[in-house]
Amino acid sequence: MNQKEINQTLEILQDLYGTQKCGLDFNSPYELLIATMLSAQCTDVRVNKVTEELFKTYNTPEKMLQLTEEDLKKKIKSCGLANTKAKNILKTSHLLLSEFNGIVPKTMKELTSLPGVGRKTANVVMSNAFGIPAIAVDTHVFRVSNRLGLAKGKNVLEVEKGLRKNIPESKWSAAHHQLIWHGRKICSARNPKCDICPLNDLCDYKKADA
Amino acid sequence: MEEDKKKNQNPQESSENPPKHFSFSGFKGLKHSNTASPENDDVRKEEKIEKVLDSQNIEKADVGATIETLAPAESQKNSQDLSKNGISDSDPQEQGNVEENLDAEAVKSKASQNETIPKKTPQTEVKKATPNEAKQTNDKMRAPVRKSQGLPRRHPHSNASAQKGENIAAGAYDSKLQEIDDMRLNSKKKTTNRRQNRSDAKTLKTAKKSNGGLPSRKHKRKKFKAWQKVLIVLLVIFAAGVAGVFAMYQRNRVDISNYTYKEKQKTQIISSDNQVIAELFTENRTYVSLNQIPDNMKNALIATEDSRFYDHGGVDYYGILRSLAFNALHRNTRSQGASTLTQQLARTLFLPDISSEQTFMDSLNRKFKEISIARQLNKKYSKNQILEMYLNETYFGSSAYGIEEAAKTYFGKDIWDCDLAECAVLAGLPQAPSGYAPNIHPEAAKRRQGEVLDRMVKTGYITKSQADQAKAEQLNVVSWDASKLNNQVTEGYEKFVNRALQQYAEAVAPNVMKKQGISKKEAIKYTRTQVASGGYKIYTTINTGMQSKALDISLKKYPKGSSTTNAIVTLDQDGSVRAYYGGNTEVDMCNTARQPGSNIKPLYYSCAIDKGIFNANSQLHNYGTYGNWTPRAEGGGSTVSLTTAIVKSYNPPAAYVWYTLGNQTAVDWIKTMGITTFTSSDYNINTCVGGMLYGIKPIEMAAAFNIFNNNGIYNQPKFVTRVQNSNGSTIFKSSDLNLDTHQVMKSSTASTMKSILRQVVTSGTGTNANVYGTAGKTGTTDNGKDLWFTGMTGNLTTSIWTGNLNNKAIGGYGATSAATYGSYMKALGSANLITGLNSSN
Repeated sequence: MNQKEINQTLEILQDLYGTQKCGLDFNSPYELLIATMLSAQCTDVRVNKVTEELFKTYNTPEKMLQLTEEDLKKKIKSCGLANTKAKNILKTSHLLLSEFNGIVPKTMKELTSLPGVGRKTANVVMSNAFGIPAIAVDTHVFRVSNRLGLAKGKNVLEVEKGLRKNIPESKWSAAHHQLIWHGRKICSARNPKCDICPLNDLCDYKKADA
Repeated sequence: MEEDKKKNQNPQESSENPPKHFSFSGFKGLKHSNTASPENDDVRKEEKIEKVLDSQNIEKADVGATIETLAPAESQKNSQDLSKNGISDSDPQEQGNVEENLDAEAVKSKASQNETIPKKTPQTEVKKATPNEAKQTNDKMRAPVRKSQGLPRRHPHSNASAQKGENIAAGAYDSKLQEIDDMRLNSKKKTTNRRQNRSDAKTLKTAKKSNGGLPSRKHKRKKFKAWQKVLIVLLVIFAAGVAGVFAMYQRNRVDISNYTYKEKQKTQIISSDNQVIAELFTENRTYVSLNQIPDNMKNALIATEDSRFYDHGGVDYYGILRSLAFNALHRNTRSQGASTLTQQLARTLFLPDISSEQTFMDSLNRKFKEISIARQLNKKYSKNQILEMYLNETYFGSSAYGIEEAAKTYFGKDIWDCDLAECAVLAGLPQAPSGYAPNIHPEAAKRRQGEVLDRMVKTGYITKSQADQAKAEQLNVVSWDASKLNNQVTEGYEKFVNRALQQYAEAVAPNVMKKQGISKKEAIKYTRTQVASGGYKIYTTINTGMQSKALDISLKKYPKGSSTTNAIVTLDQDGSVRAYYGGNTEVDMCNTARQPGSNIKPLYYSCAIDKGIFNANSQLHNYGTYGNWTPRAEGGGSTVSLTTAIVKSYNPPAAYVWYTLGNQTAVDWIKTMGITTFTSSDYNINTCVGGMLYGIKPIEMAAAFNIFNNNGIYNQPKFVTRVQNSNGSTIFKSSDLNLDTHQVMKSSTASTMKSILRQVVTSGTGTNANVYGTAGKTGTTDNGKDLWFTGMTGNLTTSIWTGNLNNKAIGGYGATSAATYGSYMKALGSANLITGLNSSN
């Protein structure tokens, strides 16, 4: 896919999905951080259900730390991986308090120093909470980018680098959401709906298939 | 394996233990048995036996023939009897020779056994051998020994004597034999070890032959008692003439001239805000005076227990004679007693531990003591006073002490409202308080009531028709309320009350030890028991307002049954314990050492500041390896300020400070702050992050932090402020506690540390506790096993621990405890319970 095709693709995606917001509900950077941590291996819908209840009382690191691991585990059980998530959320909250005065940091380096926070979560938080252009590569972005040929890579970091190179910075955050939506609606992991895909004449995957 | 079995069932072994249950069917009916074990080592006893026999006017020849030198004819008869009972015995002829050649007998017996029961191996026979048989065997085994020592020989068994003893006065004779039995049994125990070495085979062969039908032990014990009573008869009848008895009396005389009767009363524990938080009693009792007690009650009691009460001088000698005579004549019925009310009272007041009596001599000694006390009581107090004391002191069952509690417990009314029928039931109780308790055994109680009423008729207190009317009356018995059993301690104050009593008891222990000549442990126990019935008022430091907030906050989060719980202890600046919640179980977690985690850090940091090694702005290494431990850097640069190191609770600078101080200096310093739980293994760099063997108790942690809040002065926690006796005079002040108070650090060090700890709460891990200008420190141990927060708000220093009793990790951080602290302080603040707050807060 050359630069022209990339621009065309981005335009079509913009037409298709418009400017999407993050699928997770949040009212503060901390809430988004926790919601993103919870969303690993889980749907946004489920996470929103859980956080709606959780954030009623526990929406700051201090308040979160009122909970013991057991307590928190019970509250987030339905998101899966509750053991690890509860431990990481508490540890992160503790570090936020002791290291960052309770404020969610804004840099990739600081964010990824928190347990349970990787590049993807950090990117989500940075772009959605602080408006810092960032492309978080999740399973959808990774798959769709590779199929379309927006950015090819064996792992998420390679894909992220490719996307950063190929997409103008101003469109990073929007493209991220659009790619996710495309992955969910049309370019599904199994049986992608190529016959109805508006991008099928630009798509490397379709070209290879044909 | 086979050998083990054999060994286990070796009859000699089993005879080691005195036979406990002889239930050899053929001999159950026998009245007694003479085991005739020789006392190779105790000739004196034999002489004594003979002496006693003489005094009993039993023809010595008769008894002697039976016991001492068994006549061959008798033995023959004996063995015949035994054969009738289905036990194969040896040849009668051989029996005649038994004394001459026991070894031969053994051999022959084997032969005869093998004939009668050829298929049985010796082992299988052993299995069947009862201890009784074993015993018999042993008797035989030992006979040759006797012979060799030139002692008179005995026949191994003498059941025959019982059967042919019709011409001997049965009772006396039996009891004499019994006495001999017992003496021999005793000496037998001594010789057992020697017998142990004898050949197994011999025993096995003779085991089956045995004919020893000893009566059951139970039966025996009864007789033993009866025999004792006969002895008491003898002793008491001739007491005046027997110097020994008099000496015994003298020896057991108890002087009570300094004694003044004081009714036992409940002790109250009172909080600093004048609330009664506990009522203690060892016995549930409400004192009533004699004129409140109906005549029916007094009469029923006197008629039942001591009809000559107004006539005797404390001891009813006539009654003793009567009961002795009765008991001697009616040996198979329940024995009659002769204790007067005064004697029973003496026992209740002075000799309560009858249950510890082991031997007959113990009870004889006790009897003498009882008589001596009863005589003195009788001189000292009027009959009516004694009766009043008796009615108030006596146990009436169902944990009711005294007649008033008994009336309340059984009939739900005051004693003065009880009618004749009810009084008769109550009067029957002292003899067997639980056996006749109307709420447990209504039939027995009814029967006993009848007995009491009959006695009253007999003694003329009431008429027959009155008795019949009372008997016909329906009793309304209330069911038992077990909750009245225990001390009445307000829920949630149990652990505090315990600590307060302990502190008082420990403080007075040295005096008690001197006075009573007992160990410290005993002195403490003694004092605590005394306190509980002494009618004291114990004023304590606790504040019920604070305590109830602590209880509310913890129990709401971790109710009873939750595996996680808190310890919350709040001290005032002077060390007074204002709140003390030890968790939702029996275990007092305020007084249990747990790993402190980083909560320990301010304690030794203050040492470095006080000694001028570092100040609040000193840059500390944020790296380093100490031994094989490299504390993990969690943030900051290569150096951080001391303040930052505490606020962010970094481990590398903490280790650096500890290392700079040295183990000895650091631990010794913390010890001066009142921490008592260090062990030798805690002189270790790991202690700097709370890695101690036991840890620190929340109450001691609070007392240590209180130093920062109290200008560097340590005050040992104080539970008791004063103690008043029942007359209202103060017998103990808090100064008598001799609590430790000393300057640990400069006042400036304390305030420096306090301001650093304030930053922990404003911008560090303790933000959850950020109320009313709180300063404090969190602590978390591995995987969140122990979550700590110790903080200072106003004049109060509070330590909160959260964790599982079983040390299972609950996960989480000290911030959890900080949150509990925050809501606890908010609650105290809104109730205006925090003193010393800055106006700016």
